[in-house]
Amino acid sequence: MQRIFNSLGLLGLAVLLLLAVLGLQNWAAAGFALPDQFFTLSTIFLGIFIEAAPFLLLGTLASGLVEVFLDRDAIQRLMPKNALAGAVAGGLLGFVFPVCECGVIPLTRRFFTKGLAPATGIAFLLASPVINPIVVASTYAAYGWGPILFWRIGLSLFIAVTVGLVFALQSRSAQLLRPTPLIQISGASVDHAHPATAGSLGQRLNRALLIAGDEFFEMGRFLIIGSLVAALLQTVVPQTALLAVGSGPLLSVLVMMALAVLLSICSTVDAFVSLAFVGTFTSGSILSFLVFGPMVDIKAVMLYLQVFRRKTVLYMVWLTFLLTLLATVFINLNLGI
Amino acid sequence: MSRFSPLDLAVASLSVVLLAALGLVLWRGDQVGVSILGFAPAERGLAAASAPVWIAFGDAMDTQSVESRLTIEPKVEGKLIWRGNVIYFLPQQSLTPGETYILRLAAGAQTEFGHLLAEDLTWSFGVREAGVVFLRDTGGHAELWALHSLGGSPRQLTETDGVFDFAVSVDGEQILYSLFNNLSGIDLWLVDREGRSNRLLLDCGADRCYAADWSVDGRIAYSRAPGPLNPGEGYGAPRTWLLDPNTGETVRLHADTQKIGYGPSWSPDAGRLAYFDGVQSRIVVVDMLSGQETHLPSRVGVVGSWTWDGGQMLYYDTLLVEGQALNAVFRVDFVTQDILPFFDPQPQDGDYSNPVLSPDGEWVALRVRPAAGGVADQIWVTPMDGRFALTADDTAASLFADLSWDPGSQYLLYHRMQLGAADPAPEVWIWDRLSAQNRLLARDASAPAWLP
Repeated sequence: MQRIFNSLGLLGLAVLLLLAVLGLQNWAAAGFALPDQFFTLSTIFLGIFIEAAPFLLLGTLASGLVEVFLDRDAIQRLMPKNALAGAVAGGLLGFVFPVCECGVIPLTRRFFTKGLAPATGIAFLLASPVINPIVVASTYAAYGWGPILFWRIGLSLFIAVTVGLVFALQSRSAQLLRPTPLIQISGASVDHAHPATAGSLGQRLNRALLIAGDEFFEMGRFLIIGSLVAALLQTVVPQTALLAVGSGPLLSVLVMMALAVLLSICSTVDAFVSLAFVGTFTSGSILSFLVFGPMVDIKAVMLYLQVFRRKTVLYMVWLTFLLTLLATVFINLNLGI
Repeated sequence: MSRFSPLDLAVASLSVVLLAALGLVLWRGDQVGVSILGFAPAERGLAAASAPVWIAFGDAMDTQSVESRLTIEPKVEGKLIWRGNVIYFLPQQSLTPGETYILRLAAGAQTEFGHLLAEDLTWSFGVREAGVVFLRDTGGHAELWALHSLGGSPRQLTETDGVFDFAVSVDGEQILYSLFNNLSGIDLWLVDREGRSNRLLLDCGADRCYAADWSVDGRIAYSRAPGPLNPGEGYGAPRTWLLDPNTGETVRLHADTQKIGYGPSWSPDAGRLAYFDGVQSRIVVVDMLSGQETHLPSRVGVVGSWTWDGGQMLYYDTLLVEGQALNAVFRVDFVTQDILPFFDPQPQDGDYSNPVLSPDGEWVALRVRPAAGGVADQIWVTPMDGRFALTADDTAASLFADLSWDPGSQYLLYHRMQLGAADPAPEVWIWDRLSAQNRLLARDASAPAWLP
């Protein structure tokens, strides 16, 4: 009961934040003076939120459909048993479930509750924001068939599979998730006598939509808070301050990774944003922006923390950071693409 | 039982391995180096005395690191400029024919991204004497001819239906010329200094493309008059266009099609482009980096002569003095925006026009028509301060045109036509500043230009 109150409280807080931003904008439009930073903050906040919300909706919808149409046996049957093969399969699963970094989180959680192996799930979680048809197409549109596109796909898959393999040491997926009763994960069924996959097609679709709706509102509040934190940081720490730090082989990578975290842009459009840095920043740092950003940014971390244990999030973020840093600094100093 | 799970240990171990690998990658440092796409003059090649020295890099460079490491032996004063990822060294004084120069870019020059030039880049080249190229009536139409050295005999470079005008590239390797086509338009063609590799560069259709000029970085500016909209109508007012000879891509200098202008001239550093605006009666000088324009009032229809660094220009304009129209020379400084008379006080005893600065910036050649001299001209040469004047050619009853200095600032090349002669054939002459001697280079020849 306490958890339900907490959840409702957080949802209320998030909605209040959203209303406050919109309300203050109207207030300002009516002629009341507000500091310029507020308009910057509200614009960035709304930009991030409006961009990400449809993808979260898509992810929760996919999660609902998985819940009612895919049973545990099917996942066990379809996914490879071997950890490496499972991680690679997870890394490529984005071509089947094209979701970006917001949508992938509820979907991964759903897969875990259905018994997906940790290596496969973590690899899917990290890779699918990049390795899906929409992001491949947008990266192609921005950079064409060239090294940036190939390296983005290759590095994302490599990092996702590597981190996934590390998590293969955790035998049970539940150990990665926050200790929340399964029943509290919207729509999750523990009743093996009346599984969620039972009923007519209409009933199942109706149930999938209900689950998606519940999950959207559950995750949405963290998206609002995450977007607000990202907007706040962008307002306080302007891009120019970061870009002024340096453009050497190591510094440029660190700056672009920090920028990716700070900007919290959806992976479907980040390739176009990164074009602005081509020529002034190293190719390796552009890649770090395109690889690290979709895996780790402020709003995604907020959502990760809602779903996974803190240690899981810490390990995931740290290993992703180290692997991206090493790979892109290596590219800067040795390949010069 | 251990406090750490296998996952904890795996994360710790992998972190150590990754950090060690990162340390190793950083310790090994840059293995990519600096990509050099090309340089000029060519290794052990023979270059023009006015040839720009350049190095083209594959990436954006830390300009300071390059400039501080670039040297030329024997030492030559000059200016370094960047155009994109290419650095140009523009000699203040021309290189000496017969001398061998050694260029060195020392190791340590780096890209903006920190990639280092691991080893010195060194190359040498020689310098050739300048020749002359001109138009000569050949079988009833004008063709390009060249003297590859002042003592040599002229050689025909083109066989066409009549060359309209031409422009020699700054490195002296290529000549752009204009030629009428079967639509009565004028196309732009390219031929090398030996008369080989002749090719159509720009098909202008019914438009007339002419009066081209090469920049030091290889771009071409030219005038383009649109063809008649309907048969029997006249040509449109010319605009200034830019052309990349490597790709054939051509664009208007100004997006605004109402900006009229012709006779473009690049500053020696390609930082400015001047053209004449016949509608507003002014010389327009465009700063090619900022797009800012400077307007110089002039009614004479031609642009002026640049100083070697492009910072100043000498030009002339027509003034009304006691009811009489006289040309006078002015000097404009583009940095201070000052416009001052070249001679102070302004002489009232003649008509001074067509100032041409020597490449070393020491001498100015002028066409002078004394007040009592009728329509005949003289050529005078004066130092930059104008304190005295030498007469380069005062042959009676003559007209002079197309004055230009050789890269070494010793010879003045010009076109002379004697008025009232039985056979008024145009001739190409040079005047030697050191010996004060004039020498005929070619008969039946006009529009001479140096072939550096």
